[in-house]
Amino acid sequence: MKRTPIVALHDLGQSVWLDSISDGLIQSGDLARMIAEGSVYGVTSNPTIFKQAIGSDQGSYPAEIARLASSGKSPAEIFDELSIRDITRTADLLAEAFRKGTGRDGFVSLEVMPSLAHNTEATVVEARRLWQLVHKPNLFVKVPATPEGIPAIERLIHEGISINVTLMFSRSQFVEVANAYTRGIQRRIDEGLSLDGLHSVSSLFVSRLDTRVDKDLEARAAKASDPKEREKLLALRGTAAIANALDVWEEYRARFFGPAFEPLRAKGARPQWLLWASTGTKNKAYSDVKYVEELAGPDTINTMPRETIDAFLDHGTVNGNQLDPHIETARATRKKFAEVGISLEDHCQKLLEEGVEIFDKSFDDMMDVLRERSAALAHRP
Amino acid sequence: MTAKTLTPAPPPETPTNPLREGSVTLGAAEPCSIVVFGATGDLSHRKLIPALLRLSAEQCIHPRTTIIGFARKAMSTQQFRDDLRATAGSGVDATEWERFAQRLEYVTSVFEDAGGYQRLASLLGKLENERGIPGNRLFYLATPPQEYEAILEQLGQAKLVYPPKGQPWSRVIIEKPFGHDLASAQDLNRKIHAVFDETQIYRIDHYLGKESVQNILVLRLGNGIFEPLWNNRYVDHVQIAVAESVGVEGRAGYYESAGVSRDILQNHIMQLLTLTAMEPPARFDADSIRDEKVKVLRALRPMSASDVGTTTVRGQYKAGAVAGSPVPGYREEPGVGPKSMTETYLAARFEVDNWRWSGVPFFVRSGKRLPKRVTEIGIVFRQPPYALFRSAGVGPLDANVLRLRIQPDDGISLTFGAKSPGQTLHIDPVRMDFYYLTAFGADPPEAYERLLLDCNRGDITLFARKDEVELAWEAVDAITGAWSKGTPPLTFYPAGTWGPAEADALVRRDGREWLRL
Repeated sequence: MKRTPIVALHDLGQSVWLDSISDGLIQSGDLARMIAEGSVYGVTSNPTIFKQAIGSDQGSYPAEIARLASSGKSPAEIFDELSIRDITRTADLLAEAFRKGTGRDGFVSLEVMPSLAHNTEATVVEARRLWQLVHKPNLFVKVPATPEGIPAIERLIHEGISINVTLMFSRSQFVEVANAYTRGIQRRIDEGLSLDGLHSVSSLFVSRLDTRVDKDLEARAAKASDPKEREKLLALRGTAAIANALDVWEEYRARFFGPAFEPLRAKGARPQWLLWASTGTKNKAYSDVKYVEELAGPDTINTMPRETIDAFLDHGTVNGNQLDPHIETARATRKKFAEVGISLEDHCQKLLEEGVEIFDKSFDDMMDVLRERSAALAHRP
Repeated sequence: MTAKTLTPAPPPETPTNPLREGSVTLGAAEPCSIVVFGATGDLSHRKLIPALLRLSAEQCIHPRTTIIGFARKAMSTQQFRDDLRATAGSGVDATEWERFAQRLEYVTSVFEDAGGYQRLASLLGKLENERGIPGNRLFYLATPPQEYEAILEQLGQAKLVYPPKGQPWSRVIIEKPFGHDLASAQDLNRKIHAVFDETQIYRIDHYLGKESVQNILVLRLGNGIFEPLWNNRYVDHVQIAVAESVGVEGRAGYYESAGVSRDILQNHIMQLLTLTAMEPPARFDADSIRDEKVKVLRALRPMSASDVGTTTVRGQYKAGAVAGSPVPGYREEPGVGPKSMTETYLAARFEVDNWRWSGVPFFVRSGKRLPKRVTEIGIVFRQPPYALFRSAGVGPLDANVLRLRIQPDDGISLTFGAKSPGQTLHIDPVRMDFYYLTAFGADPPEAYERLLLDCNRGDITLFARKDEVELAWEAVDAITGAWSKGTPPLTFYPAGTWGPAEADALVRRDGREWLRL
């Protein structure tokens, strides 16, 4: 296999996943090719991704929607069929990688519907339902790290369902999520239940923090009277996300790779792998591979959009572990943010709320599209 | 079984569907009296009367056909009509109901009382006179099986049954379960034969009324391209799955002594298996077809107790979750004993020892509380004889699978490999699908109504014959007999999963995998 930058990253211990899914990607053989070339080791999806795919009118979606609508299926049932079909085909394409892999390879993620983000019980019910319907060992059901999601995560881990925790932005969330995971694992151990086939990752959203904090910094800089102050603020742009990520990284190492995890590891528990999400560069001023190069490190996963994968293959560089060497710098950066009165924690909280809303809207938009198509095809007598 | 529909032709303004051109609309069947024993029971209320109401509304049964309820509950004819009206619900058109209600009559009697049958005889005579109907009689046994003996004896003694040939005709319809093992089925057959001839006995397996099941023979024998492949030179193995997501649903009284072997294997699965495996009949008539089905049953390899131990799996659901919501285990269901050994799941490997199928395993599975409701026959074909594309770096190919989806979303699909568009040779599985509803754009007739109508018209093709039923029991008895001795032991699976791990092991021992449903 040709040693591309992504293969080099894999050798370093970071698996690159594709944050996108669509019928066209699968049917064209594109996804299979990327997997075969070692450019993609897993796939993630979310309501926005599915909305783009299904609403695109590409590939087999229009015909399938027409067929399902005219057999009387509701928009929710149509979405179920389409998403589960794409997910199971992807799971099959990744089966080989899953079998051979490092425990961070070969997975595909499917998110529970966003309207359930604030309902623990409904989230548990829906996650179970998806897990059983897809029925693949390399599936992750995605559950958001909202306050209501946290207890759902513990219960689902306890029930033996592999969970990808999403919409995680801050260190404090990471801690709660990791606690929920280890509690779920511990309950299984206490009840003598097997840990075979149980996996988990937690997804830290990265670039969105820079988008928000950069705006904050620029607003404050505009109001700053002292030019040195303005300098200081503007210089902090593009640093928040990485500094925050490294904060979580430190906690991650302590939690899952230190003595604290030994008793569980001895019983067969796997770490809840840390996944860098939202790693496509949003700001044109930054390198289009910023959130890949600066987050390179072992025992992690990075899920990224197609453009970022292509960019990294084209001109990405891998220079060993970028995480541990920058822990001190990150701490210093976080201190600077505190000094200028910016709370990264507050920004993360806002991002969580917005995150749920964004997915909610995507999902609703997609349901509208499906409803429209169904209405146009009223069941013929 | 020609392409008939039960609905009148569409009005001229609606766009025509070329697939429905030339379909013939049925005329009404011959007028008769339908005597429903057990008319106040659950089967009658839930299935039979609604079906008759629909047939009546669609003018498929003769306007002068009468329906006579015969049951123990003391009621006048008017009370009987009112009672049925109440359970028919609000969706019923008032005029339709009035027309239908005029057909309904009622006789109060216990099934052992000869006097009741005398009253029935005089009522029949009176109605036949008044309405000018020739005296055809259809006796429907809608009672629990233990009542059949008394009813049959009394029918015989009251001379209400005509000889088999000639007019007017008399027929009897019996629902499953038809006995609970070979001995009881033979016993029941003897009792029925004391009063009715085999040509008058209509044993219902409602699967046979389904369009998708009737289409098995049409697909095979109405087309030139499938039948040449329908044998052990091209078929690797066959899978038949009847999956339910529901649990025992308050019917523990019946299910506890039935289990999936008697509820599904003996009838539905055996029907699907025989239709899939049978030789083409010489003529398309009831006995020619049923003769061929019987030949398949005779060719089934008999199983010794140790065979049953290695080629069958029996399971029972424990607590789990279906569609995400928690559900109790079988032993926690109301009416089920805490140590019940009734199987709610089975998987088995059958061999059909004849020229056509030797070496082709038939894997069947059925269960309650599986993740979804689906009934499907999968024909898995052999790999091509030579891996032409290996030098181009193409790995092992997916097998071609022809799936006959019986329910839901009835249809047929074929999976085959196609070259993925691109510069290199990459082969991906693709599917060619046909769905009844979208192709024909019509609601298929209800299986049950189809069967009632066939009985009215004297077409016995879609009903089970005595030897079919008894041979199926013989095969099932071999299995349940070994099970009762603990071979193999009962195993458990969480509700909402696809069954016990032993079922996977069963197919994997032969190097196969269950198809994804």
